Amino acid sequence: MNDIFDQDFLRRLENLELVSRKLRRGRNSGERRSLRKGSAVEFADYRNYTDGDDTRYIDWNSYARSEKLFIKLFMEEQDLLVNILIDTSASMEWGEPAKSRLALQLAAALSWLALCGYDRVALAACNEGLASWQPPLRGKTSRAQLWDYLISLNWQGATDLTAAIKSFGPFCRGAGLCFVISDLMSPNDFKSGLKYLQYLGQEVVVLQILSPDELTPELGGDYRLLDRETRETREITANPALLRAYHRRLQEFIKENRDFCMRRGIGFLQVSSAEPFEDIILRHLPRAGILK
Amino acid sequence: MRFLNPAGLWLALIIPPIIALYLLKPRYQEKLVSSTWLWEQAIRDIEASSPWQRLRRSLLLLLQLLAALVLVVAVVRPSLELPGTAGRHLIVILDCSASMQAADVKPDRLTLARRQITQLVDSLSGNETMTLISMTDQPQVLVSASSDKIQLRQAVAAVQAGYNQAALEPALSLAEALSERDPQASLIIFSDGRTIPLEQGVKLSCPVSLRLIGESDDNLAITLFSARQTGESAVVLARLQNFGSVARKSELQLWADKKLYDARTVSLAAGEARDISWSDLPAEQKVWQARLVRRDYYMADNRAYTVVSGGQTQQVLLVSPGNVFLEKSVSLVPGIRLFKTTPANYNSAMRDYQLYIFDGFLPAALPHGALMVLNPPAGNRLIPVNGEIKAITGVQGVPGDAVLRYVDTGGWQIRKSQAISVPAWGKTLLEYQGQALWVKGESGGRKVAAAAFDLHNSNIPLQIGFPILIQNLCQWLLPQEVAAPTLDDSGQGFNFIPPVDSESLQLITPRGEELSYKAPLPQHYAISVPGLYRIVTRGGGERHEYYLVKNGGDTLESNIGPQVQKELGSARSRQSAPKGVNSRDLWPSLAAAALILLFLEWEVYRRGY
Repeated sequence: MNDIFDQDFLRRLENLELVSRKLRRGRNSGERRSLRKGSAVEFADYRNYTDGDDTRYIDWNSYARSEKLFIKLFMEEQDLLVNILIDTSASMEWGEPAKSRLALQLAAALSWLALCGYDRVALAACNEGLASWQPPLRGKTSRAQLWDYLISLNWQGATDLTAAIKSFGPFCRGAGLCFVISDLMSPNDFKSGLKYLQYLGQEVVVLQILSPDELTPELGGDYRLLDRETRETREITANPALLRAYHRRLQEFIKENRDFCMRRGIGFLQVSSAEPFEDIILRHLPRAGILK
Repeated sequence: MRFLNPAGLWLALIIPPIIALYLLKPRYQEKLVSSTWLWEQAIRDIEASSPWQRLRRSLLLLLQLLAALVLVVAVVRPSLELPGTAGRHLIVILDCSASMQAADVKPDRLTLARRQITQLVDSLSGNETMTLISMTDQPQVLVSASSDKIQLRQAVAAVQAGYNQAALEPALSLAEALSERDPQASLIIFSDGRTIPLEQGVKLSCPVSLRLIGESDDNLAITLFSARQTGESAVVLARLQNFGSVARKSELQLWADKKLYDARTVSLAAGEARDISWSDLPAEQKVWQARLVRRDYYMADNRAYTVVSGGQTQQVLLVSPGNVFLEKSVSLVPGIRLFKTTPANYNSAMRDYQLYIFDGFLPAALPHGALMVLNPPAGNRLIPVNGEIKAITGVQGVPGDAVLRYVDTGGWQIRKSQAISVPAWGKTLLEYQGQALWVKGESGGRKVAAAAFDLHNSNIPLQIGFPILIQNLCQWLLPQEVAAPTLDDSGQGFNFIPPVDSESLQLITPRGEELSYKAPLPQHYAISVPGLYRIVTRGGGERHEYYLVKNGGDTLESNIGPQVQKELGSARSRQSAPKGVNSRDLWPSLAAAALILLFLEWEVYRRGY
């Protein structure tokens, strides 16, 4: 992982803070506000006293003025569970530079940011199903364990995100922020999987990584294309008209994904594997509202 | 329609391979991609599962087949045969005589004719041919049966008007010979009609038409201008003629070199010719010039030169009891006038001869002129005679002497000759075993040549070299008044025998051009423009100048009025000429179509239809 992050860049990452557009209830107290009102220092509201309430939270000053018992409510600071689902199908280890490299860099960066924010981070690898799962980790000391997990990932198999997410469901306990990092290049539908994640209370962010060869293929002549995942072949004559048709179809595919995500309130960002990692972390993700 | 190259059908074999290319599965390169999922949606019609595929309806295939088909048809060279006047062979005779320089049409007759012929060339269709003949005194084929328009245009543009008469008959004979076996031939003559009259009506086997060039007959000409010396003065005669149909008046000037000597106003009625003379002119003035001041349409005959003749003829006295060989040989020498007498009649009063030829006789008192002595009598004081030599069979010439130039002494035999001693003034010309037979030299201020034998005692007069030897000797002996240059019959050159010792000759044309010749000098020189030619010879330390005159005035060419040649006729009328067949080759159009189809096919491929 040292070739992915150096110390200087890690320090710069620490200055960023992972932002969740909705506050979710967490298991441990963290640095993030929760909708759950509790006993922290930040005042939130009053409500009438009812039997069984902790008398320590009665606002005696209000009682003195109005002779009515009010309980003071405070915002409780809680931690956040960040789930990162990484598409580890064979198609991800393709392109120049490989999409897998950027996927690892993004997963590592997001994980590191979460750890720095005292949030919990869980990782999962997906191909036809759930390939592996890393239970939630917490604190900067978990960094080595987390990165070891990332290094151990194998890039193989076909892509079936829906099946993988459904297998991930039982491990997803409680609401949280869920990143899905994939090229989405699959004839199988992945939209059901994303809906299922939302059903599990996850705020979903999709990061679609495509390589330059996929975005603007430079082909000319007759080719027999070999699918890296399925090993199927397709024969083409790459003339300008076909290249234009491919490009048109690709743009439609990306637009369709973006539109679906927008409709469902899912964050979506499509990036090229050739883009510098720093640009994505420091520019694209903040612009998309994923980092602040 | 017919096909000029049926063998080109072999090219049709290109069509099956084109179809086979579409039947054959293309050779693919292997390429690993992340997923074929997106490609699959864009290339559904590319997939194939066998080496051969069903021939599908493809615009590219159609275009390629069409291009191949058009190409094959182009190679076969189809030609459309259209009835019409095409296929003609035009024989064009262009009059290049002097009168075609007349400027009664703009810019002049020849230029106008050339333009009309050029238009004719431009109108030639692909299989029509043209022969171009220039007509002067001798016809000349400039281009023969050519359909190359560039060559024809260049030939027409290069034609220049000459200064000679136009002889129609030889030109027609030439055209007749060219058209004899060509049923498509037709003759067009571009001329002003002023040609040497035909001796008899000419019937040509091809249709003939005359394009008459010229409009006016306005021309006043000097048709004759001559001068002769009479004693101490000279007389000059000019003949003027009005070739126009109305009376004309002009000033006639007489110039002595660059000085105006006299001027007269002359009025001439239509068609009138008049002689005008000047007498008592200074004899020392050699060249006279006459000028007609009035401008008319043909200016070449408004100026004429003449050189005063007389006094140039050399007088030679032959004193002989009778020598036919010698008399004949001497009389052949140009520029001399031969007088004869016998030794008995000779007396010292016979003076004023430039050359005396004494045959078997020598007077006691030698005259002042040059001497040629043959068979000198014994005891004379000029050439010592020492006896006789007999049976001379090997006469040798002394090499390097100009008098022996072109003289071959091989076969010369002398039965009997006197033995002479070479005098102190003399130099041996011919010898036999060291014994002089013919000597030359200068004695007492005169040139002398002496032969030791009687010509009747030798076979020399019968040899080819003898008249040459006599001519060379006469030219050497005579004070160098060489025969004046004379125009040849064609008028395109002159004959001139320069002095024997001439080493170079310079010809200065009327335009000031200088042409130089080095020995051996030619005897014929080509000239073109009319005017005064100066001839300067140099050699032996001497310089001689001669004049030659070529005047433009000519009763035929100066008569510039256009004239229809009624004698011309054709044995075959234009209407009865067989209709030609215009065979139009279609291959250029087809080749262009094939090219367009190929470009179209490339564009279709580029757009991916």
